[in-house]
Amino acid sequence: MTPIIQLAGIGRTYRIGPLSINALRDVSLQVWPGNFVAITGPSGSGKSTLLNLLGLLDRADTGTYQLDGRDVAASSDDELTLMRNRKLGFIFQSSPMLPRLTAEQNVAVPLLYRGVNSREAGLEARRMLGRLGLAPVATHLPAELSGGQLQRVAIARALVGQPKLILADEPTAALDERTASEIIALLLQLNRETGTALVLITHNSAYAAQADLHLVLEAGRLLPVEPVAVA
Amino acid sequence: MISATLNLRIAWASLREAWRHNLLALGGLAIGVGAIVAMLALTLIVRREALRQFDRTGLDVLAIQKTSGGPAVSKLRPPPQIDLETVRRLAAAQPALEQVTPVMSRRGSLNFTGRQVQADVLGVTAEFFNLNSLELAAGRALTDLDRREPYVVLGRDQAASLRGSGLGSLLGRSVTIEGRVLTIIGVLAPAEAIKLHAGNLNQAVLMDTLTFSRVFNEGEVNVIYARHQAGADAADVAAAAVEYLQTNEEGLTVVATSAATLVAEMERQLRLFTLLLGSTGSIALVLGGAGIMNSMLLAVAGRRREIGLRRALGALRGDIQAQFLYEAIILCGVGGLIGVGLGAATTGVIAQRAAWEFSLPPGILLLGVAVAVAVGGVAGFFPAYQAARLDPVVAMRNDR
Repeated sequence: MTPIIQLAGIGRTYRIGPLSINALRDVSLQVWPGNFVAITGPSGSGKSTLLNLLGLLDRADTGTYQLDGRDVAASSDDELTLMRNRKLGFIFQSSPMLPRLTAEQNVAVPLLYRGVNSREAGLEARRMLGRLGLAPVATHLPAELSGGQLQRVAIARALVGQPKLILADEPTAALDERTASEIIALLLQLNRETGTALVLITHNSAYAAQADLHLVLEAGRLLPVEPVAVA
Repeated sequence: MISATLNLRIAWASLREAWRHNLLALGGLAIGVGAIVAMLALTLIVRREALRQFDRTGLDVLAIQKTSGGPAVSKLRPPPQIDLETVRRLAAAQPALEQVTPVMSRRGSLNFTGRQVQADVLGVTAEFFNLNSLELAAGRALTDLDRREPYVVLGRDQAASLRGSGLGSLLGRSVTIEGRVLTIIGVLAPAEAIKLHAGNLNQAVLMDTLTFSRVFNEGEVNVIYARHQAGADAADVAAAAVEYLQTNEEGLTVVATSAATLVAEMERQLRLFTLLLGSTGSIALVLGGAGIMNSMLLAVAGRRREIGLRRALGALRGDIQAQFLYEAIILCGVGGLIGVGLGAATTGVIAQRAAWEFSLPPGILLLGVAVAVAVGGVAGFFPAYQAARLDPVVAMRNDR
């Protein structure tokens, strides 16, 4: 079996004028199919940078990244986009949608960019919305949906292409506590049912505690969580 | 990349709210396309109208007239003039001229059943009827056998006004002109105003040149009409005729006008008009295109999140570039359709005012839309390129 994600010695440096900021230093990580990995860390610790790299939206300066056995550094921009479309699903903090498309049309977008014809893509999107209990709002515009509904639509959109890995960037940050718990429960359920690996970035240590692997980012370094010493 | 149809649909959906922001630019574009459509259509219509005026006579007709001024001649001698003898000599000396036809004309008093009116009286020969392809509504035309005979042929309207005095057929009836009694032998069918002929044939009374000389007691020829030989250059033939008359008739100065040079002159004016309309249209197109480009650049800046999201969900740079290019092309295409309508309406109104026969070849309409689409392609290219170059991380940053 090959790991979905194999990071080895990844570094990412930003230059702002004369300053260079090491957003990530020597990060190594393995994520296997079906894994649930939680990453926590203070603001500015490099969580978003790591997620951008994992999501093929950015490239590392040093180290190697193999996504599903394929070296990312050797791939062109278009190849990365195709991999992103086929192997990854994104869930962003504020669940951005295309505002003039219905929930169903938004969910179908990744399939359309994959070349699936619009009728089939629509059917698949509707099926996925139904599975998440959103069939009644399939034809609603994003502006007509609540925060929790929007995030569920975003989950449907991330899952519709049957990716190997879901990258979720603080998906509950904008939600009330109860809705947030429901969303996390849903993600965990889908992770178990579909075998889709999940990388969750969160501030909430209770959610992180449920992960197979809980890592902390500190000033660009990825560390395993030490068991709390009991006095 | 995704299919063009799908991307066109995405572009169309994205445009739903863009129309309002693009009204001004679309207006400019529509005016530009309209001007170009009207310009091309009117050029065709006017050219056809110009040629139609010479349908009856053909383009090989020319007219020679004495110029009003001319060099001062001794007061003791009568002013030089063209008479029938001059015309005969000209025809004999210039073999390139055919159907040489003198025309005399005066206003004269006409008396019919006691009612007196003023009429345009023309002294012509049988050739005049052939040259102008005149047809008769009743009776017959003048022939070479009618020379000196006291016969007249009436123009359509003139005949109608005489008949208005309450009598039946005019043929064979007498009419008194300048005190001479003449017999009506024919009535012309309605004749179109002939471009080279100043008067209105429908109002005229026609008689033989020799009869005319007797009636008016003078023999001056006002215009000589002629055809030039097939293949001869109109300007050359006209110049030779002028040269001959001015050399051989002392003190005479004449000017020759040919149908071909008149048409050439009309075409020259038309080209000027075309140039004016064309440059107006081009300026409006450029302004419209610049407006579309500007609004597309604003759209790209305002839709960075959308672009970033689409890229994250699997849109290639090419997909994004095509989407924004299509948006510009659709915008401009619709502007072009409005413009084509505008151009067709303008052409229709102008043609109606000028009493020209309206026509609008579909090729011109297609060309109008094609021009607009091309403007869209040019105006949309740079904004689309910018959209495609956007880094998805940067584009989505304000979202995190």
